[in-house]
Amino acid sequence: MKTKWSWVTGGIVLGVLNILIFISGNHLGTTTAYAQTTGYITQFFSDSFIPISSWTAGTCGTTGILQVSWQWMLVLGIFIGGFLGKVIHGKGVTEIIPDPWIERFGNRPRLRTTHAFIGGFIMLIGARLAGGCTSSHIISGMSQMAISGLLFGVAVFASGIPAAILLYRRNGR
Amino acid sequence: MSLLLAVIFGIGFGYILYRVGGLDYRNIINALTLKDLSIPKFMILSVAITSVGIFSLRLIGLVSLDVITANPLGNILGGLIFGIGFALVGYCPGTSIGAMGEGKKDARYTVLGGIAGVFIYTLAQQYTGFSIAAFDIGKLNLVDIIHLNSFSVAIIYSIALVLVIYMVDYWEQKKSSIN
Repeated sequence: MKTKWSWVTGGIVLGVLNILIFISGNHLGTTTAYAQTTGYITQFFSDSFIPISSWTAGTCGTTGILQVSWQWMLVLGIFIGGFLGKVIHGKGVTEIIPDPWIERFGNRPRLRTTHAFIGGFIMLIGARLAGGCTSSHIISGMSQMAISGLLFGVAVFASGIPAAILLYRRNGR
Repeated sequence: MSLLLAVIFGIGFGYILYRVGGLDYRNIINALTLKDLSIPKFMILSVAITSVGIFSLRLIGLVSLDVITANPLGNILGGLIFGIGFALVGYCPGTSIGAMGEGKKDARYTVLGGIAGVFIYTLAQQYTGFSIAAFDIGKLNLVDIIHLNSFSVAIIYSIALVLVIYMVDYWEQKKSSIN
């Protein structure tokens, strides 16, 4: 992508956007939307398998009912935002597998799919346990100087950095 | 209407992530392998700016906080687990949604995996009754630890974050001039 924003530009724009979100009385997050979506899907198949309150109970979500919430609409917006970015600025075909992944693991779409699925699975388990994700704990929580966000943020990089180095820096530093 | 605003904010967030390269697997992996820390710097800079902004506005009652309850076991263990998944796939729950919008086919599997993860977690919670709520220690932030007024703490905090960013930046530039 030719016109990529520097981290400074991105940081300023996001910083301001996030302030606007706080002024509106809301905050960034995605895990509640995941919980609600999973809840909706499960409810579709079985009314009583898992009580509705379980989806939003505990550390993710603040209401006891399944509903298309503010955060769900935010997440829908994120999807549209990515789409818009591609439509306005993207050129050419969107890759199926990232090139660096191919360099490391070979041209194996099914392995990439497996990695992607397992990665998502692991992240949401971690997010449910932690009570949030990078958006809610780090971008939103750390802006409020939240202890929960600070602990989560440090922990993510404490395991993510060694994990990535182990996975990807096999061919020497 | 509030929900429409949510979509608009989301579009803004998704678009920013796209433009800064946050939806790109290689930028996340480069960050986690310490080759290019642009994405973490971007995140932390936004935090520093938002922090000063919201704690100023809070003084005039325009913003109220909504802090996630601190639960050291959950926050730390959950974060450690999260980091492994993050390193494996190069997306987070939010960026995978944006990447899916962008048309990246691998991202949809991350979202599906995430939904499966929530399902299994909730199922496990339901059938074992496990709960870590006992470790909740309240909606704490740094003001509860540093006993100054919150605006001052926010200023000190933001300055500290910016210093860390610039130290990292300096380290990166030295590293690349050595190579």
